[in-house]
Amino acid sequence: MNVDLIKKKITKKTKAIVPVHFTGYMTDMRKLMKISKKYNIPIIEDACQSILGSINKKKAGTWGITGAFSLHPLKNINVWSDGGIITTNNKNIFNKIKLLRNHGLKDRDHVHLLGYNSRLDTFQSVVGNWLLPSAKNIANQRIKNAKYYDKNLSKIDEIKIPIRPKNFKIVYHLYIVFAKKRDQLLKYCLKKGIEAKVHYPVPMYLQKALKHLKHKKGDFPVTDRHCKEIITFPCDQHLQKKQIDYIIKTVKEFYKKR
Amino acid sequence: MKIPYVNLKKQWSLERKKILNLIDKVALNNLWVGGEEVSKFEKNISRICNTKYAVALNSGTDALTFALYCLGVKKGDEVITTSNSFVASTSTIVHLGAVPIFVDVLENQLINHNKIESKITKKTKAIMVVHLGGRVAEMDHINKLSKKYNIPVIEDAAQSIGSKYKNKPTGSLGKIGCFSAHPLKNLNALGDSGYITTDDKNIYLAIKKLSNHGHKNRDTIEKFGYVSRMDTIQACVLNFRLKNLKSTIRKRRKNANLYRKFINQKNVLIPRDDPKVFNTYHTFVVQAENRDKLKKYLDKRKIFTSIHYPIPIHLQPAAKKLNIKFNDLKETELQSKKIITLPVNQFLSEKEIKYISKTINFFYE
Repeated sequence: MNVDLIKKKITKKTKAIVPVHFTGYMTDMRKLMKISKKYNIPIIEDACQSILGSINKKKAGTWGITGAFSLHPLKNINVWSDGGIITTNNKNIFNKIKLLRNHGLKDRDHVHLLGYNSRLDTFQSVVGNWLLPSAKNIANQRIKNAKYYDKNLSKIDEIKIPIRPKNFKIVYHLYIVFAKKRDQLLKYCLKKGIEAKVHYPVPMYLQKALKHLKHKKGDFPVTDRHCKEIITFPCDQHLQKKQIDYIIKTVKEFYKKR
Repeated sequence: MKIPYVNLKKQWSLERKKILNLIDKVALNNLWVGGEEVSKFEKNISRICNTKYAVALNSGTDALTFALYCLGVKKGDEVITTSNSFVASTSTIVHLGAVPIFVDVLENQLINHNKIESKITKKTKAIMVVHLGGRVAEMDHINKLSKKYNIPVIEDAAQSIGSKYKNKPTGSLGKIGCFSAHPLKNLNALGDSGYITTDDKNIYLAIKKLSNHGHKNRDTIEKFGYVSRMDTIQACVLNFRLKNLKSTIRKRRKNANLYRKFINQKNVLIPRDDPKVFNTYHTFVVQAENRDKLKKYLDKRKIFTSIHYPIPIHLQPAAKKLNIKFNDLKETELQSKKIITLPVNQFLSEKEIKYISKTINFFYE
């Protein structure tokens, strides 16, 4: 989220700002918190892809009024099913969400507010608890992989590495770079056995589900450009160096051939 | 003798090896969400419930929410239901902005079908029938009203998988059937799970999409949805446990009959079973004088019972905000003070049921 563009979008109706800490790279919360304070608008951090990410050592999920995390099997900390977590320092919100997730039940027989069914299975909590001690190692290994990619891919003219600002700890749930001839590169990688992906090819504002908001193609030019150029390479903690080398080699090969 | 109300430990001990193997298979497949096990479960359910379609979901609560949503229930609408249920059958109505209109119940705890018609207004968008405890409501009558006023029926069948009305399974008796596979249900997963059944293709497709963020495919979203997918592991466990469903029901029905034989029904009312209905006894609820004292008496003797449910939804603190006066739910309120749920699970022995019954009889002597 380009935080510098937020102010002109704020109206009397604005109730919250939801920055997405996409890929493990946090929105600039230093700037955003100033806006939140000035306009008295709470921040909900979508930190689904950014567990253990931080800015100036202050972690994702601790800046806003609440932080939302996902434990989906593809996340850095992953359980064996859908799952999620919220974090907050606000006791009222904490108590309310505790009630909301379990039908508003204060105890078995007393319903204090009408809630939902959104409980993390015991089973999945066991899996999560087992994984948590490895969380730092998982993040560090991904960071190591990403740095290695950065160093090597930056030598290729057709690849642009996103900005890696100082003091940001990027935990690389996704390793994304901008690539010329992205679609062809993607095809080439897939053909070579590399499971590259695009997160995500169609921006939210152009989805059919948002038709009623009447956005036009081109309303968000940077978003559009990214959609055309982004490519995601495997970056998980189980990758071996030789696999990363193979990916780098394959990308080089692709551009040499053209 | 110590008798637990439910016995999940026993169930696990009988299946442990097989289920651990199945989980390992899911893990080796590297697929934790969706996949073949989930579609297989959906096929199994549509076969059992005799419907064209089934969708596996995250919970019975979500099943109710999606059912109401797909029928277009929205702010200002009314939905007819009962107040002696688990809170989800009402909260789902309220969360969509609609108003729950409670109808009193019969002696057998099910909706009093004769009192429905007078509650129907122009705003009534659905009738949500709760097949409480494994019994089935008077569906012929209710479906006649549904037809007459063109109001669809949602079956809250969370507690009644396998139950039948005139030989037709629950889930096939209304427009949409909503089920739970919570660990305490007759067909139970290892965590929260649920499913819906329907013959309506549009509703089926809509709920399929709603449950998976509205994704048409990985990259295209047609309508914003939710995440309410049945875990692959849970689908796998449920497919396995489906093989035992018939025998589970048979044993529960047998246990219920034993209670009828052994309990002195002078002080304890056991509502009779409607011959049209095949009751699967998710719960065995009796109505007892001095209920609270009886419960304590049984607790002391390590016979663990439950109450489904001691406070009707319209009397819950959460219902205050609804700002509706309910003065015609006398039977619901009366029963809430008398009902007690006796253990009826498939792992009980005849000896144990005899002991429970004897202890109850002794309490009144």
